[in-house]
Amino acid sequence: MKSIFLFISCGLLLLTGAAAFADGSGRVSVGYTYVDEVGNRSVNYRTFNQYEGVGLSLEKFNYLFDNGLRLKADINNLTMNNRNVVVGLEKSGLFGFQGYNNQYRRTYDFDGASFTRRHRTGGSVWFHPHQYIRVFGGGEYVGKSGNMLPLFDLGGITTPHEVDYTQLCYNAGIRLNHRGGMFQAEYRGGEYHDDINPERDQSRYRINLYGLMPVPRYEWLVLSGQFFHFETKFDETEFMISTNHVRGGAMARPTKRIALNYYFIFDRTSSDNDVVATDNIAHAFYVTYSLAKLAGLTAGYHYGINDDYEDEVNSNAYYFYGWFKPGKYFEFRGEHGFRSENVEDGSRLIGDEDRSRFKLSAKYNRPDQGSISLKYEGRNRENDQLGTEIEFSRFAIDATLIQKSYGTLSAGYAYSNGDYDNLEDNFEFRDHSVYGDITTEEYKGLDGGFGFVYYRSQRDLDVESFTLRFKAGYRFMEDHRFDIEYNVDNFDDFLVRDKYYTSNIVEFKVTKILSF
Amino acid sequence: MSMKLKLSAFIGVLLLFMIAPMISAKEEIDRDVLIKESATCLDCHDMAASLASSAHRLSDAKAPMPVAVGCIGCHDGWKVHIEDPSRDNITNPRSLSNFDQAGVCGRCHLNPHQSSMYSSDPHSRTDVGCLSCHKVHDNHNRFLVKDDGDNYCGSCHTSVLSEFKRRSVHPLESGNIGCTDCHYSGDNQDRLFAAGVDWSCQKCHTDQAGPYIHEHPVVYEHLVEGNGCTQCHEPHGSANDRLLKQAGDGICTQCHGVPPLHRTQHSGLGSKMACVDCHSMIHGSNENDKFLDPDLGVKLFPDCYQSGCHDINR
Repeated sequence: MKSIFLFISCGLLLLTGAAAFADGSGRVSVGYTYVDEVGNRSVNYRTFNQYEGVGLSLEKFNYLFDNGLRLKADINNLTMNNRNVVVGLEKSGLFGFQGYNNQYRRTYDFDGASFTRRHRTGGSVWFHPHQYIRVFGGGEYVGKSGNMLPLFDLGGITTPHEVDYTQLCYNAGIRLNHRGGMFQAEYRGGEYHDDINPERDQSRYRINLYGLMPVPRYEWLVLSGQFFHFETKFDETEFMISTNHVRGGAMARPTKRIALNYYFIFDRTSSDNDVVATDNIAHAFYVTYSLAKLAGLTAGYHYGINDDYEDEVNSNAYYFYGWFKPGKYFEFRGEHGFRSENVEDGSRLIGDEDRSRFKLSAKYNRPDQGSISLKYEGRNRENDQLGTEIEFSRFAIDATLIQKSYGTLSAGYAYSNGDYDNLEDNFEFRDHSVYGDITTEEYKGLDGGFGFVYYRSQRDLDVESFTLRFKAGYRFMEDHRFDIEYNVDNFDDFLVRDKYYTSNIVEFKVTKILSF
Repeated sequence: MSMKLKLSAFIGVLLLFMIAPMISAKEEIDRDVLIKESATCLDCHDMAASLASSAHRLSDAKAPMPVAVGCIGCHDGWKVHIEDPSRDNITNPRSLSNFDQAGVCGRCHLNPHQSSMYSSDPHSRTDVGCLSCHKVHDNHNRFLVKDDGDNYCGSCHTSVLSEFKRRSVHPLESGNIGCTDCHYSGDNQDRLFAAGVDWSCQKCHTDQAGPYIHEHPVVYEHLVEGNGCTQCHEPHGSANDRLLKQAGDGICTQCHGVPPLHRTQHSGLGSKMACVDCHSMIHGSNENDKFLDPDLGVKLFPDCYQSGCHDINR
């Protein structure tokens, strides 16, 4: 696989070198990453996908041929297992292609012997054979393999189990556009193949039709509709689950300031494993009144029925949203949503349920100088019949300071608070995240930066983690750079003895800045 | 409903959809005029170079593409403006409301994503328009988004970004996934009300999502009612391992009581076991309606089965 990507990237470079009258930009770099880690490899998510070795990258590459053909590439660590590759080729108004590949490793045990690796490779393509017609398609291949450990040790016995599956998805469709009207038809297919448990092999497809049109002579009224059929089937047992979904909607703007929106949804999901099917019916209405760039207010109502023949649950939801921008730089927002679910017929384990949430935010933003924002969010879920309740709240503040001649400073703090009243016990957590970044502007070829993340979770948990990041760079020979970055990661779970981790990661990189 | 009737209904709906764009009557600019008059703009506005390398490269009359791109396609009022150049008589889409912005972009980019921006997408109700996320001039990024790192959502959703700094997280910061991998704005689903079917998680976690012969209703709910996986998992990041909302058995006891015999047999000192120690196939099972570990008999055979508490066939 590595050789294929090396070949592709060398090909890209040669292709661009051969073209005349073109322009482009990008960065080619080669570097080495050194990783030193101690402790439990399965606890610190941020370093799961770190590898030691030589990395070759082509970043932010953009190349325009004289005939309008544009080549793009963002290839990071091509030679390493954490490579992340995106390449694209397009000609504006005619066709486009984009491909990608990346890998992610997840570690499950203390010494890192049990891990899984997921790789994604895919691409998409579109083409305009005519002004009003767009044809598109694509595919993605996902594979995951390795060994996983269960979340808890079963009576002291830790048995890894093997994972090895692949999934191939593909799609193709056509879109017709004409004078504000649109129709799109798309087919999506997928094959899932499990090497460990072949009885779980399954295939699925989805046919999706979508249409939209302004009403002739009443163009302030736009009608839309959607239908899709989705089916998943086990290859071995032929057990099948399918969904038919219909959606219709109307959006009206009788005046510039008022927008009215209505849509309905009907979908039925059924399987051949049981005799029942689940119906979902929904109606939603929104009214928005807005004064362009000054203020707006939206009220919404949603009514839903969830009916699986034996049990029926009805829901009523209300929604309010307001925003206000008193000046060029200030912005205030508020939101409140409430949803009540009632079991009308039959029963369900969690009984009736009420959910509510509200959000408030204020922001001051000057693009040339910086910004500061404050946010508060509260969420609640109550199941009276079951006797459970969840309360969650969060406060966050973020600030950015930009001084063009010196650099940029950004910092943030978030406080979250969760209380879960369960049937048997309670769970509480309070967590704090503090993070910041300082980046300096270049001075005599030198620039630098410092970043940190500190995370602390307390009450029923007792976890602390932090990341420190130091960066320094030097520009030489006009278009070359030498960069060094040093990262420290630390994790401690003070309630579990073997859950600690520290790593030191150093990356050296030499970069050539491309300009054609 | 008979097969014939189903087929007729399907063909009827299909025809209705196909006719829709044909009978629409919105005015559009002739492509020759679009190319010619847009070239006039460059006499005063030095934009050719910055647009040349972007997806909005101006169309060339000598090498016409099926879809023509020109300044006057977006900037209304150009006829008057060419005669009498003034800031006041030309439309800058940035100054329009989010609904009107969607209307301008929709002249070419009429697709499910764009149309949802003035219908069911929650952004449409919050004064977030196309130009809040996309920069249409002098931009090389994919889909002309402002930040090619795919985390441009974070410039507004700052408190959500802070969730990715918690103990267990989805790999957003390493670039393995992006916001739009899960939050696709264009399927016309209203996420706030979770109406309809949500397949976001299943797209990557097919091995967990089923369908199973024996469904755990909360996972099945994900397939048919939306919102299922997030009853137990925090999708962005969590204070607990594996993106779980609670530690230990709390995740189970938010809905389930502990059976009395489990209390005496599995909660004592030295015999304390977590629910998922045995009910390890918690997302669903093809073998067992209690979602028990299929290897339980091998691992703890004497304790589970020889004791007579459990039937090996269940």
